[in-house]
Amino acid sequence: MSDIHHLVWNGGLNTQIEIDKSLVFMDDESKPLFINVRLPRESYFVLYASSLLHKIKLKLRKDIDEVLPYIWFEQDGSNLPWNIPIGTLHDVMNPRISELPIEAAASSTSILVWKIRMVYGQELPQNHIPLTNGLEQVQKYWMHQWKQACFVLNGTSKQIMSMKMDDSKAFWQSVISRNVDIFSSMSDKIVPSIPRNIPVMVHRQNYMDFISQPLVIPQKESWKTTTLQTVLDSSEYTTTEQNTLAVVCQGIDVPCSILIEELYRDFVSLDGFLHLILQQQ
Amino acid sequence: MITKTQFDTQLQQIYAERTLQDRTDVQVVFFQDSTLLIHLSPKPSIREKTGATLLLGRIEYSEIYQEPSLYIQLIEHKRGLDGLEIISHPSINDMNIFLPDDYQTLFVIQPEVLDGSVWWCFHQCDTSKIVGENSSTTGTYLKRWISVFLFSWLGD
Repeated sequence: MSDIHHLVWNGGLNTQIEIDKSLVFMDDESKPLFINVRLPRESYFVLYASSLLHKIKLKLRKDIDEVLPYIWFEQDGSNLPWNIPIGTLHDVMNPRISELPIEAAASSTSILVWKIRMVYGQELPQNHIPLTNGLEQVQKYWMHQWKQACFVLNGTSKQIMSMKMDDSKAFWQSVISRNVDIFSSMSDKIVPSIPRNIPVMVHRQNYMDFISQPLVIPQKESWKTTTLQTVLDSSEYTTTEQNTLAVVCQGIDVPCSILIEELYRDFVSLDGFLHLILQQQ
Repeated sequence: MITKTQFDTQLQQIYAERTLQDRTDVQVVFFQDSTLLIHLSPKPSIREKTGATLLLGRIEYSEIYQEPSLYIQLIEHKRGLDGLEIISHPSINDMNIFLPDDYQTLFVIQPEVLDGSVWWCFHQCDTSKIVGENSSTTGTYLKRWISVFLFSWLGD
């Protein structure tokens, strides 16, 4: 695993979470309740919901297990789906650092904080996959994503389907315990030295529901000449529109001239996909 | 496997032949841009197990797997005490529960977000094994796929 992927895996976001008033005992005049945490970019919100609630359990109106299936996170009223990596959600919903007001981006006396809400309600947002089976369901979903990534990479899902039970458990456990070495040793069994195609998900800034999965095929049968531009060319954007776009991956602007296979190996997410966010320049 | 062109041609043909529209459990079929959306009345066993009063089926092409894809959504209509009809999605732990026993292990059904709402996706990775393929039957691939992926659990 490259040093860059180590940095990507260890990347975090300073996050301030405002807790839904209906979750806790407080009167109308009480100040909102916040939890300040640093969340890893390479994880899912749902994996932290329980431990976040434990931090405020003395103030909760109901048992944690009772509220967990009815919790979601949102920014500015938009649901942040639990099935998309945290870092990707952040990059979809927030401007790039170069687009921030100068005082926010360059101040040495403050840190950048992502402000979101933890919401509770029986009526879940339309784009929220109901969690009826706790972490087992999250694991199943994540495995399903890897199965798809594996198919794109190898033309078959055999590598993941034939994984030993112990390896499969260790792979998931590495996501929970955030052990990058075990994660890499397991993902290396799936990602071939010469991939057939590259698993990519393209998101659009501020549109949580817009995700496309273009099939990234090597140009002239070689990854040595296939760049990020290929992905843009297969998007619905015209060449003129493409000139107004910036591509963000793992929180940074990436040049369109970069080789897509190298980008994949360094910036791949925990679900086996390379998440790219198209933002207006 | 099926190419996008073959898929489009065969889907058009199935729509023109009214294979789906003439079923008694099909309420309405919409066909637009290579996607078929079907409104179905769920059979009693599915109603009992899930509470659904309407079943939406969506057939479209997967570029990644080069296979047809089936997505379903369950809808429940309930009349509230105030007389207003409430529409909701029944909460189901495992979508396989409504499949006949023989088919429980055949399909992997997972929730996915599609166009901003949650659909249950019949996973595509073993499709060609399930449907069976050889060069002489390519022209009927989608018809056979529909009979396995949809009609097998909907019943006759």
